[in-house]
This record gives sequence, C-alpha cells and structure tokens, in this order.
Amino acid sequence: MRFFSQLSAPAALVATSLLALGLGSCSKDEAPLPDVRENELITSVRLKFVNQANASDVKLATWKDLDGDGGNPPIIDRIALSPNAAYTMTVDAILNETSAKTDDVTAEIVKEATDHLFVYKPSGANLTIAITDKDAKGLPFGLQTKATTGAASTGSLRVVLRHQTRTKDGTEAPGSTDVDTTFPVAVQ
Amino acid sequence: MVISHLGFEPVIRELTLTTSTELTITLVPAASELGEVSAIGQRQYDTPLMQQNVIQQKELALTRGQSLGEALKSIPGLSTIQTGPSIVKPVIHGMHSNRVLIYNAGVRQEGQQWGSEHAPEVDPFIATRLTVVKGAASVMYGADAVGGVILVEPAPLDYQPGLRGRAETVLMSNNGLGALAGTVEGATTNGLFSYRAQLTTRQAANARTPDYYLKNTGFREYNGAASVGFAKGAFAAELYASTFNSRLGIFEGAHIGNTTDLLAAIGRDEPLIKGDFSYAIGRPYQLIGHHLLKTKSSYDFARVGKLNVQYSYQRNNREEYDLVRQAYENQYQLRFNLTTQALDLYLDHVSVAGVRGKIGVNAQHQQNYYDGRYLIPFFTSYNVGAFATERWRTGHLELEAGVRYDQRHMQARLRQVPTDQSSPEIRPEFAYRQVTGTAGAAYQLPAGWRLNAGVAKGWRPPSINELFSQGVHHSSARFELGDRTLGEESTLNLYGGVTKTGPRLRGEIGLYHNTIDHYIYLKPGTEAVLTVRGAFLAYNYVQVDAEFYGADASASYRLTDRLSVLAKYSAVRAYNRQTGRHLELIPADRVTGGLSLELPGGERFADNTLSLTATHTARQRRVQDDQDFAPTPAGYTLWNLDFSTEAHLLGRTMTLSVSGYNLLNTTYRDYLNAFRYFAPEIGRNVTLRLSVPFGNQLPKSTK
Repeated sequence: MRFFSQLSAPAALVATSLLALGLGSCSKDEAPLPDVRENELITSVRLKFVNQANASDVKLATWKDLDGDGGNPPIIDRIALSPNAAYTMTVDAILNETSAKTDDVTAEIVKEATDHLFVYKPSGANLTIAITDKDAKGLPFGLQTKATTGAASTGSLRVVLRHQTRTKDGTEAPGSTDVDTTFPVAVQ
Repeated sequence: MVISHLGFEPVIRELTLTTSTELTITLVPAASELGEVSAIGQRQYDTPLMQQNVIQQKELALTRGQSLGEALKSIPGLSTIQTGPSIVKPVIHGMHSNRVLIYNAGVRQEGQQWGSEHAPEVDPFIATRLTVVKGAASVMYGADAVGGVILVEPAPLDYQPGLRGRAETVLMSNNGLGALAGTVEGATTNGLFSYRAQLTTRQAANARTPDYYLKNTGFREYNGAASVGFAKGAFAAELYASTFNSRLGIFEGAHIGNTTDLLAAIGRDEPLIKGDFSYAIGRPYQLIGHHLLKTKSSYDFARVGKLNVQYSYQRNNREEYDLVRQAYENQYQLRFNLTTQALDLYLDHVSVAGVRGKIGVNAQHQQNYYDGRYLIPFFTSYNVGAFATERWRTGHLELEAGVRYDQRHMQARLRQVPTDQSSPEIRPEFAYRQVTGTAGAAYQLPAGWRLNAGVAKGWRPPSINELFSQGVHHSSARFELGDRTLGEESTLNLYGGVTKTGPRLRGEIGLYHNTIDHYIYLKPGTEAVLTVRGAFLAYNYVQVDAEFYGADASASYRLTDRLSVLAKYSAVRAYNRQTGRHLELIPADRVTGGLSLELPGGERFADNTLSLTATHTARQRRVQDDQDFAPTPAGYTLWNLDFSTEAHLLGRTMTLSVSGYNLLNTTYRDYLNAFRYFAPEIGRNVTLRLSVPFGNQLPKSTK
C-alpha cells in the first residue's frame, strides 16, 4: 500500500501535465492576425515640378510600390521636362499605403527636418537640382528645390532621403537611407 | 597515517612516534582528473558516449560575468557568432542557432533561436557545470541537435540541513560591466525539503575598441531562479522557476538603410558615430524576457530503475526597437511571443546483463504570435518523440546504441501577402517525421589512454524563418526569401578520437565528419529586388548537400610540479558538395598556446594559479570574394592572462581572480561578427571577480 501511495504523486503529476498539455493544444484561442503595421515603410514618393515661367505647367512623377518590399516590382513614372527651363520642385507626397489607412509621412519628415536630408543625383540628362530650403538649424533640407534643365536629353534622377538622427551635418554621409529611388528623366 | 589531497593519490605511511619527527611526503597527482568525471561516465547516465567537454569549478569561475557564448569559447571546436559586442551565440563545429540545442536546467530552451542576432536567453550564473556534446546528438536530445548540444546545469539540490549561500561580483574595465549574483540555499532539519534562490544582474556600458567607444552597445540583465525540492526514500520531486530579462543595445553605427550605405560603411576606417562611456541604451535595442516553470519528479524502483517525469512551461517574449522617426518612438517595431510546453517521461533503467540505458517519450506544444512588422507568421506546432539508448560495459570496453523516432506537425497562419491588410488569411500545414540512430564505442587502454569512435544521425525540420522569411534584413543589407517547400535536413556524423589522462600529460584529439543532406542555407543571389530604399540582392533559402569535417585537439603537459604548458587547436572545413565551394560564415582555424604556473601560497592564500595564453585566429581564406561584401578580416593574435587564488580571510574561503583579455589592446576584426563591416572588436579588458561564501558550508562538497 505504501508503495502505491508513493507512486500516486508521480502519477498525479503525469495526469496534470497531460491535462495542461492537452488544454494548451485544444483551446481555440484564435487570436486575430495583427494589423499590418509597416510603420517605417514608404510605398510612394511623388515629385511635383512647377515651371517658374508658367505656373500652369505642372509635372508630377510618382515612384510607387504598393505591396512593399519584394512582390510586384514598383511602378515608376518618367519625369518629362521642357528644355532650358527652371522649375520649382517639391517632394509633394511621401506615403505609406500598406497600413489600414494611408499615412502621409511627409509631415513627420518636415517635423524632423533637422534629422533628415534629401539628396538629388541627376545623371545623363541635362538637369541640375539646387536645394532652396533649410532646416531650423540652418542646414539644407531639400524638400524644396530649384530644378534647371538644359538642352534636350535623357537620363535619370536619383532621390535619396537620409535619416540622420542627431548626426546631420549638411553632408550625405551620416545616418541611414530611408528612400533611395531612381526616376527616368526626359528633357524634351 | 593517511595523507590525501583532492586530485592526488593518497599516501599511506606507518609511523611510530617517539620523538617529534619531520617527514616530507610528495603527493603524486591522481590519474583521474576532476574535470573529466563525466567523460569517464561514472555519473548518472545522462550524456551520450560522444565527444564532449565540461567547464566547471575553477575553469567555470574564470568565465563568470561573460555570456554563455563567450564562456564556452575556451573549448576546442567552439567559437562564437556575434552581432556587435553585446549579442553572442555559441558555435559548435561551425554550426549555430537552430543547429545547436541548449538545455537550460534540464529543459530544452525554446526562444526565437533561428536568428543569428538572437542571443540565448540563459543566465550562466545558475550553472555549476556547462557541458558541450559535440556532434549530432538527436537521439537523446531530439531534433535540431545537428551541430551539438549545450547543457547548462545547476547543481543538484542539496538536502544537508542548514542555510548557506554565496555572493559573487564581477567588474570589467572595458565596458564598465558590473555583475552581482547571490545564491541562498538550504534544507529543513529533517532533510526532506530543500530550497534554493538565486538572483543575478549584469549591467554594462558601451564597449570600447582600442580607439573609441561603440555607441549604444551597453546592456542590462536581471535574472532569477528559485527551486524547492522534496525527497523521501525512492521518491523525489522538484519545482523550478526562472526568469531572464535583458535589454540589449545594438551598435548605432551598424544601422544602415541599404546596400549603398553598407558599402559606404565598409569603405570607412571608422564609424561616423562614436560613443562615449555611457550606460544609456537608446534605439536600436532588444527587450527580451524568458520565463520558465518546470516540475520534475522521479521514483526509483528497485531492480527496475528511476522513472522520471518532467513538465515544463516556457514563455519567450522578444521586442525589437528600431531607430525610427519620432512618431513611432513609443512603440516596438516587432514583437514575438513564443510559448512552449513540454512533457518528458523516461526510465533510467538499472543494469541488466551489463546494459544500462534510458527509454523515454517526449511531447511538445508550441504557439507563436507576433505583432508589428511581419517577419515570421503565427504558428502552432506539435512534436512527439520516443527514444531508447543503451550502453553496455565489459572490462575496458563500452558500447552504446540508440534509436529515436520524431514526428512534428506545424500549422502557420498569415496573410497571403503579409504586408497587405486586405490579403486573405492562409493556413499552410507542414508535417515532418524522422528516425535517427546512434552507435558508439569507447575502449580504455593502460596508462590513461582511451579511444572512442562512433556514428550518429541527426535531423532538423526547417525553421520558421527558412520557410517564411520575406523582406529586407536591414543590418546585413539583403532581401531574404524563405521557401515553403523546404524539407528536413539530416546529418550523418562520424567521429573518433583519443583521450589521455596521465599524471603529466593529459589531452585529447577528436576528429569528425558530418555529411549533411538537404542542408538549408541562405544562398547569395544575383538578382536585385527594387525597394523604396534602393536595390537589394535577393538571398534565397535553398537546400544543398554539404559536408563538414574537422579536428579539435588540446593537451597540457606538467613540466614541473608548478609549471605546465598547454596547447589547443581547432579547424573546421565546410563545403557545398554540389559546387565544391566552401560555405560562408565558418570559423577560421584557431590555435592556442600557454603556460600555467602554480604559485606558492601561504597561510592566507592557497591554490594560486597564473596562466598566460596566446590565441591565434587565422584568416578565413576559403570563401571567395563573391561570397561576401568585403574581404574576410585578417588573422589576429590575442594575449590573455588569468590569475586566481583562494583567500582565507575573515574565517571564510573566498575565491578571487583577475583576468586580462586582449592584453596588448590589439585592433582586430572577427569574421563571425556581423558588425565586422562597421567596427573592430573590443580592446583590452581587465576583469576582477570575487566570490564569498556564507552560512554553514559543507565540507568540500562535489560542487
């Protein structure tokens, strides 16, 4: 009898353990999948060119990748500008369209202008970009620029947004890249 | 008169004392070394007859304050894979993460171990022994033990009545690390109940390379463990709970956005951001909690054996905080929550015709959730396994054989396009099963020589990230793509070696060869994936046939009573059998040489040991230029010094030790550190350790 009374302890343990394991596996705790929260992701970058000689000459160009990294490739508009012209170029919209509602990230970036820098790298085409705005510390920001075209040509424009938390010094080097998009350019 | 001292052959002299006599007796070191008790196999049958190493006692004391990965690095064949100075994972024979199992206090550790930047959630302070089984130990430990198993073992509960304990402290000069650990244990006067409580904290500031501090590399850790036990006659039961909580800073200079950033960082001699001496931890950082509850009981049946039942519940919570715009600064970007329950039932049976063994079954249930950014999906998995392993001993020969069957079922839940809120939910299911086996032999020769050899099969189902990854891995600037059609990985491990345990010479040589079929690895791609952060190379998880082989050796020779020389060597080769190319991220060859000196003590100081070692790590020359973003780092040599003593002060025996790592403050980079592109390794580090016992200590226990 003593033997069995001692044996009951491990037996009870086995039973409770099995029960616990069974409960864990049987419970229908169907937690819903979390909302898509790619909160640092940017899906669209839109550039707006306004001809300084003719305010009604407005050109928009969008770089768009709605399904985020990977999957379908991005859809990229061509920037078509008139030759020998000067444009006011602004980064019109930076959006995150993956979440339940579309976030306009532009306002956040403007708010943190002292931690961000837009860098423009034209290549091939006769196009120059000069930053015309500054952040609160007097360093270039780059949301607003002046784009000047020369003779008819084709090439590309690389738009880079650098995130430079507490390290911004007006150059491209510090920080990490939030946006690095390349648009085809036609000056025609 | 019998004169005996731990570790020495006893000397018996017959004396007839008439006047005062002076007698000089020289003790001869005993043939059996304290540290190798388990290798000889006299303990409970709990590790297989495979190549293994143990760190305990003095050697373990010299690792206090270090992470588990660092503590094991002195074992030949072990190295570490790192993500900066704060995240360190152990590597056995070139394998790590989900190919290395960790058993923490007898429970299979289940966290998000697939990630190379997910350090083991284990507090080494709880251990009085660290055992490493090298090779495919799947039969005894289950799936995933392809590379090996690490056992983090607390001392068994002590049923000697009374209250006792120990306070330990560690200070490090490099990163201002301070560690405090306290243990209190005891038993009731009737000797039926025993208890133990442990608390540990480790806090470190930014680590320092020889020239500058690495910004945001501090960490804070708060851990605890408590257990109570009951033992009466043949019955014993134990309840054990532990908690591990860590906040780990990640070097800010390694935060990059895309491949261009990575190449720019590689081109720089020094990171643009430098830190100062600070305990502050900002973004990016990881917040990790791992909590374990286990209950174990056993009954020793006469003439049958000991029947053991163990139930464990563990919960792993991992939150990752990235460097983000202010709008998201009050939330994590990613959180995983993994709950694991396991039930183990096994019989450690008594010797029947010279055959001893273990027969058992295991069941495990796992549930994973995430929140924030998608990286891996929800999943539920079930595992069941049954095993038997038997050892036969006759005279000088030991033979071992084992077999195991495992079955695993997993169901994942995710959106078809994980980054699209409106995408439909899918529930892919996966089933795996595998039979593994092992056979080994050991033969004891005269003069302390011992031969061993064997063969073992191991297996591993694909891990969740290998099936489901889809996205940019930011610190490594690559787009990783999982494959849901991946199958199991299986390995055939052949090993053989010789061990010598003599009064002057002791050491071991071990050779191994692993044939791994369907080895899952991240193949560098040539195709670029265009994202808003620029183009990334696509890396795909693929299966290839691989081959790992290598050698580990260590030896020490006692030149005089006080002076010993020691040497260690380890090398591993890993090839893709289909292309003949060497695999990436395999440790380079390493060789260590050193001297150990026993210094004369006095009344106050005993057991004074001073050792000086130099370790050379070669350059990993076997990977080609197209297998990495940068050439592999140059080889390097580090000088280390350890001094330890037992001080008899204030009526106590305190253990005091001082160590100096990287004494010459050498600037070097290590191939297995993911942040080698951004900054060198840490410079000189002087460590001071003090351990003070209190309460009524046991007379020289086995601890």
